[in-house]
Amino acid sequence: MLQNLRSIGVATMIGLAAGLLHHPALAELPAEPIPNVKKLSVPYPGTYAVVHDFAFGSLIDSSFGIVDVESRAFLGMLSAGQFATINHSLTHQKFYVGETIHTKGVRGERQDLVAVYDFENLDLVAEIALPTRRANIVVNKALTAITDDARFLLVFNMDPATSVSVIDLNKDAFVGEISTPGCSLVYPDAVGGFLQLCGNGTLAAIALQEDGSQASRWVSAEFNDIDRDPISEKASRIDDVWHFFTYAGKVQPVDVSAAQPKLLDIWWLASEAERKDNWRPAGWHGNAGNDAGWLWVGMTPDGYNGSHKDPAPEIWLFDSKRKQRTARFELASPALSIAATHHEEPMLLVVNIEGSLDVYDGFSGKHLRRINELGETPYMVHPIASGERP
Amino acid sequence: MSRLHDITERTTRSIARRSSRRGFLGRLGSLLGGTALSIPLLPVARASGVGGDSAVPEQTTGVEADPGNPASCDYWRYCGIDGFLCSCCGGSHNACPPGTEMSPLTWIGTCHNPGDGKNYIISYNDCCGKSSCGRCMCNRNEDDRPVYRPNLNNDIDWCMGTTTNVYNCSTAVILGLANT
Repeated sequence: MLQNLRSIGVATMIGLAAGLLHHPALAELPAEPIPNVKKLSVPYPGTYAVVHDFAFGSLIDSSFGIVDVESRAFLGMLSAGQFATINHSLTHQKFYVGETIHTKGVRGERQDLVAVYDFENLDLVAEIALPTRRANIVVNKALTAITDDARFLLVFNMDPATSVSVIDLNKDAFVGEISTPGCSLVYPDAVGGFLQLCGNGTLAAIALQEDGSQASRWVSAEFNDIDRDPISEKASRIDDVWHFFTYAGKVQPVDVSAAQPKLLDIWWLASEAERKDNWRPAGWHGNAGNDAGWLWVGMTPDGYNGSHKDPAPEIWLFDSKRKQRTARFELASPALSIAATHHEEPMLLVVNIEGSLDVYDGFSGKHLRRINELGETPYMVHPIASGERP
Repeated sequence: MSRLHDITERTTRSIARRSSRRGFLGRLGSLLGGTALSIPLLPVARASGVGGDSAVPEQTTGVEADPGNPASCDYWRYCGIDGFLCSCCGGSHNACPPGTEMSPLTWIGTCHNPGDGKNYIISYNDCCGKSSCGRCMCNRNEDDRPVYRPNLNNDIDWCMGTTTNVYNCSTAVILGLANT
């Protein structure tokens, strides 16, 4: 025992001496500033994305994490109240978080607002009070939108009467509310207005005046067979065409390049043979597009009444202009929600059922990397380089 | 593992039908690395296994014509539900937990009762005023329609017309027989 202790003592002395010899002239570490808070570099590179943690287990305390899908770095977060939404504007270099809070936690006065944060500091720069009617609905991209001219933020209301709150982004101020009886959600068009889907199977197009009030309202003929095979409200925009999908897997493109939208020809995602196996679109938000014309759709085999929100084990890639599938790949983990970057070689971002964010090569489906620990129940991902769109 | 079975049962039943369930779950188990999942697997969960010491205790309505376990997502009334089962949160399949407030507005579904072979209109009243219960998450979307058909949509927080719109859990109350 004593012999052992002696040996250890000698070894320690030798180690210390060796340490001194190796680092003879290193300066001592300087004192560091307090407080010390990081900033983000602006403008953001095209590899940032926002992951929405719905926090189903504690709805009043949700959040948005900002990540770099290339380096896998977690860059910061925005905290939010319940049933939150997020939009961002490259023009204004800001995030707009819609949220509902109560003044005493789960009690007190209800307050609905849009909290505005700057890109560089993620600091709160404005709070915009809203009528306390904003729709409290599980994560859905179409609950809010920024108009194509980057002028207005639109917030869908349901109490359960439906309307839209309009926020002027030049002033960060609420400027009015548009009543939208029977019609829901907001899908921006290319001329500063927006579309809505209506409960009677039509769609409505609303044009805005300079002050944000309604200039005109146009309603389509009935085209959506809601009872038999409804159009899902989870849609993707490619250039000036919104792509909607029915539960059974039909694609209904809607051209929004002008104030009066045009319903384009319907096409099927799956072949007749595949439809016999009930391949259907799936996922919480299981479709994504980019402006080069690529369309990714999460699919599940053997769909059934109620499978429209199931996770998607496969992604099918389409050339939306030719309406043809060009690739099909299995995911490393089934998808809740997907989104695509707008690079020439796009990345497909997938919030999977384990709550991680998977990054794939958008064309080959090769799994590139995974980012873990993004909150309690991550539901959605928003690539930041996709401009004003949610 | 029983939780994993429950979760995967619904979301993957199609593939399971084409092969043996055991074989399929084995494959999915490998896919997920055999680990316990860290989130309730929303919105895909058919969660909270029944059986075993750690599971939610089994419940019964005590009525022969109303069979099944109201603490299980498989209970017949939950065919269109999305949320935490109040049966696991201090309430029951048709009552809110103490100290919460039942929303007067709801979404509705039509569910088949295997006990008497009849279809019933079910009202999924939310319970409000306390934060998320967090137990027995259950999401089944039979006949669920998109948000623009609000009365048939289960993504909406139906805590409307209550003191606060903070969501706690969901019930499944019989309104009456369905006509069809």
